[in-house]
Amino acid sequence: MEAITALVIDDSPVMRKMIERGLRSCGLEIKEVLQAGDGVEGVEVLAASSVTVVLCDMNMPRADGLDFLKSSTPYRKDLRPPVILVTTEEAHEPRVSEALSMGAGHIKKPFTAQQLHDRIVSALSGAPS
Amino acid sequence: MTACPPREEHSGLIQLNDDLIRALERISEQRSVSVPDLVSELISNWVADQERAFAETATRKDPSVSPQPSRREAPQVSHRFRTAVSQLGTPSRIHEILSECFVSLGLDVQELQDIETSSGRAIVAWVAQALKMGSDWTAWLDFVISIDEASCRTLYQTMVGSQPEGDADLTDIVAEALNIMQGAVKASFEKEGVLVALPFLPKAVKRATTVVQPSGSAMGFAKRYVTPGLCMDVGILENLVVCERSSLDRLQVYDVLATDVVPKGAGMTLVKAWTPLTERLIEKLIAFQRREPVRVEVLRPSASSQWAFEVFSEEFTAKGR
Repeated sequence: MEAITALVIDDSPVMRKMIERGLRSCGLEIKEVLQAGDGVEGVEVLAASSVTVVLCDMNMPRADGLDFLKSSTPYRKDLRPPVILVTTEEAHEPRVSEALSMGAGHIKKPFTAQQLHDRIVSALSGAPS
Repeated sequence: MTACPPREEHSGLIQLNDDLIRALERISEQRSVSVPDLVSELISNWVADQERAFAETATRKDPSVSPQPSRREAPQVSHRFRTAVSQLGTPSRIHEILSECFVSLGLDVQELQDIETSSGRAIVAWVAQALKMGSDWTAWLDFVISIDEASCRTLYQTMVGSQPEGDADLTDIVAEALNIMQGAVKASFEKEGVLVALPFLPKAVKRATTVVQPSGSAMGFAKRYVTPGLCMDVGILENLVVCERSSLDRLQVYDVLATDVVPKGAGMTLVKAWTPLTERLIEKLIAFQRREPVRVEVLRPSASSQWAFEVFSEEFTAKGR
């Protein structure tokens, strides 16, 4: 597997640090971790960079995870890079299941480095979340 | 000996009841609802009105101290409200859920204490959930965490694996811990078939704050969790939800939309359900109403939330909901 450039979108700087820490300790080769504070910034970073995988919070002010999924479509041909929602919400909850129907993956907070590893590998291989 | 009231008063009362019964029978036919169900609905609405009036009389002169009810001001909690919060078997089930959260955050709870108030802690965090059972919005749950700075550093070190760089890191980590806790409680409610709305994002602020039970609310859960290097107070306040159709001139900032606003002519959602109203959104709705009528259904914020809006006012200004 190639070295990964991850885009982490979360309004909480602490959560971005926690996800970055998880990425750097999960056993995957990480080239770079880009960060954005909400869905609007996330689309801007995605448009300007070559990203392997996106880890996106659901509840954010201005533009949430669903807004990001919708507005990032032009920059994600064939659902690449894959988006994994990082949220306290369960997969069956309406907004999360709407995101899953749009091809997103899902990981529930709090998570272990191993769970993060498995979810990213699964998303990059195109397996359902 | 008590004298009988004059006969005219009796007559008036009987006449009124007869009128009321006839009116109920007429409405019963129109709405295909039984008279006993209508009476039950009337009583339920009356109880809600009484509780709302009760909550509105709560005084909050100093926003850093939520008002302590006197014994005579014991929380008025309706049967419907009790039904909602007992769904989870609180507080034992909530304690179970929160203990699991502490473990998942890498914290080993060594001691647990019952508390009535929480004071002198440097950092306080808050978030609120609205619960809907069946077709009724039944309760607000206000989650409050209160923690001292040294404990907060331990929390940060445990969750992030490094030292906090400033106050923003400290408040941010408490908000995130609260987010994880409310998320776990929310998931448990949803497993029981309760719909849970989360209109507000968790807020945290560094400010010495005394957290007590506001008038019009019930303390659903209040515990002090002690782990090595950490002492955290967690409280969950239960408040009745007042859900009502409102004309636009009666809308207030922080009212939460209970349903999507979809004007007939617009053919699309103008504002999504569970959005807390801001001055700008209210203006937008009023401007839209110049083209066609807009009716909205809102959840009025609880007494506890009113306290939070004052304590976290800068956070709301900076981050929105």
